[in-house]
Amino acid sequence: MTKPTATPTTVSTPMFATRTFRDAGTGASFEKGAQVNAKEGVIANYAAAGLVTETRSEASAADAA
Amino acid sequence: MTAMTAAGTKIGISAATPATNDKAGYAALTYTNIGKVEQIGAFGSTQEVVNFQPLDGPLEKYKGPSNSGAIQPSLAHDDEDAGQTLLRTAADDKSSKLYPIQVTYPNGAKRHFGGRVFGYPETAGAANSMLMANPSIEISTEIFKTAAS
Repeated sequence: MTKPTATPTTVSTPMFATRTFRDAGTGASFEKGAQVNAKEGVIANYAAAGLVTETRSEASAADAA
Repeated sequence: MTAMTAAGTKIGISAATPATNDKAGYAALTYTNIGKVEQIGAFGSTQEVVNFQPLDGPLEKYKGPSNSGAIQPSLAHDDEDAGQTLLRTAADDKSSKLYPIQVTYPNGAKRHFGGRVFGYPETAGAANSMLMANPSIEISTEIFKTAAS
């Protein structure tokens, strides 16, 4: 069986919150524009949801959904 | 496994794609828990009944294709919840991407599967009720079961 390679153990490059949000699993919460530090897999989920972006300026300019 | 209440059960969603379509592949992913879940509901594989009525005997029933079913969790709508936001993203996704889902029971046992979110209806009920959402997640893979360790 092929060993899965998706184990997200590394810490991702910091990203920035496009809106204020909260993670029910970790209990972490972030204000809009705040730097978000988390493991790679966590950041990937946030990014897919549109909650974080790579630059602070983009985060500040983003409209809340 | 001893009997237990459902209190403490968690459901999470991931945007990643498992490296392998099996228990290990799904378990390796990182899930973002969905907040404000009131209930998850029933889920599990069932098999279609294929009937055959012979001329000279009782109706015979055979096992047909399996169906892993669907869940419609009941959530108190929360714009700021990351898991709910990812669930809404999955609902808005026009592609047929499978989103991995993880259900964790209070004793640590887990259920993993891939699902597509076919809708995210919101319910504004009476003044003395919460603004709710009932996303419809169709399970499109086998349900991989992991016992509590």
